[in-house]
Amino acid sequence: QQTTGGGAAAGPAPAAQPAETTGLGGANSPFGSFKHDSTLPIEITSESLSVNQATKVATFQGEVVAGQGTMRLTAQQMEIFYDGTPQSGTSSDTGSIRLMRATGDVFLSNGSEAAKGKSAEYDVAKGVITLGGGVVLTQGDNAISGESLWIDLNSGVGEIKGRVKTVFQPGSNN
Amino acid sequence: MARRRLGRYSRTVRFLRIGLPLLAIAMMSSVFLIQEDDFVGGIEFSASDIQALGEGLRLTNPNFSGTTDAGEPYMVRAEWAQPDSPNPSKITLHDLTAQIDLDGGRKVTLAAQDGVMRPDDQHVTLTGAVEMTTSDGYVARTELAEADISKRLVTAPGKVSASGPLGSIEAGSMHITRPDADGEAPASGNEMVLFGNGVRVVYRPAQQKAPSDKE
Repeated sequence: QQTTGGGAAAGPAPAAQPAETTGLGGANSPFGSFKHDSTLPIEITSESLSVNQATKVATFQGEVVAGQGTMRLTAQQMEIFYDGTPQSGTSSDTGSIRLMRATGDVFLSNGSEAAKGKSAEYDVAKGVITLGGGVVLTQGDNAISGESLWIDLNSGVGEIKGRVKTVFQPGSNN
Repeated sequence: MARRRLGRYSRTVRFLRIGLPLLAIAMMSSVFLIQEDDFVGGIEFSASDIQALGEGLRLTNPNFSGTTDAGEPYMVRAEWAQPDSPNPSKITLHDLTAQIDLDGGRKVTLAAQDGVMRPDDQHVTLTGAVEMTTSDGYVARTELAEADISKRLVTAPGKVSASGPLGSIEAGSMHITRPDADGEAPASGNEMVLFGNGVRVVYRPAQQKAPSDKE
């Protein structure tokens, strides 16, 4: 049973409910579990890190794992674009990270849901993640594939675009 | 307390105590002056003297300065320094700080409990509570670091903990290089900081500002 639809907000649940766009992101909204607080500390581990102070880009290389709350983003390489100016309003002297760009076997997971793609960008300030280069989003037995995936982490609203294919496992109990 | 009236004896003793040395100096200098012609150069040191002098010679609060390949002034200060000889190939330093002034007023500083400086190749080995700050505001702490000051390369082979614009960083090693150090266009003032052997960074984003005051 395969339904193909272009640019539709993917909803695997048989009773296709439009993903609620209320602040909380309904429990069954496909990306509900991706909703999380993007002001939590981000921890990044990798084999190496090079910080280019001229361009203000920090590049993590090798087994890169970035975690924020329950969200995990893993990749082979991750570039962090930060600006050196200390974040206003915080005592810490850390600059603010504007963007995180991951490439190479990108895997985004947040508990029950996981998405894979070739690249991902996480706009920390806006709390928006986009995955690109052919994405497969899995929830339990269901999978949705498409060209790109966009998720607003604050509301858990998301959209998958481009040759979207949804694969239902018939008889699954959802 | 009233000064006791000095007896005649003590007055003469005091006179002699001062007078005799003066007399000796006068005689000594006359020796030099008289034999001006056949006196060969300055004071001569035997090899063993040099060795002894080298070990004994300890400079307190010394500072050494120079300029890096890119013409940036640097200075090394210490509580004391002990050269291995009058023309030292190695200088042992204690409680030292090194500072490289970059253009635009920014600085790279290194500090440590102990260090060994090789003035010829402008190389300093730092050990014990080593602390480095880069021009971008990173403060890194480690136990051992090698600084090639002329090329502004600093290598910390062991565990490093640093904090800076990216948050707190723990790594198995750290290497501060200058892009032009390996031939690229000289971008003085901007180092590359390379952390290796396993890196962990914790970044704390600013608390979400209430939308209203987000300009």
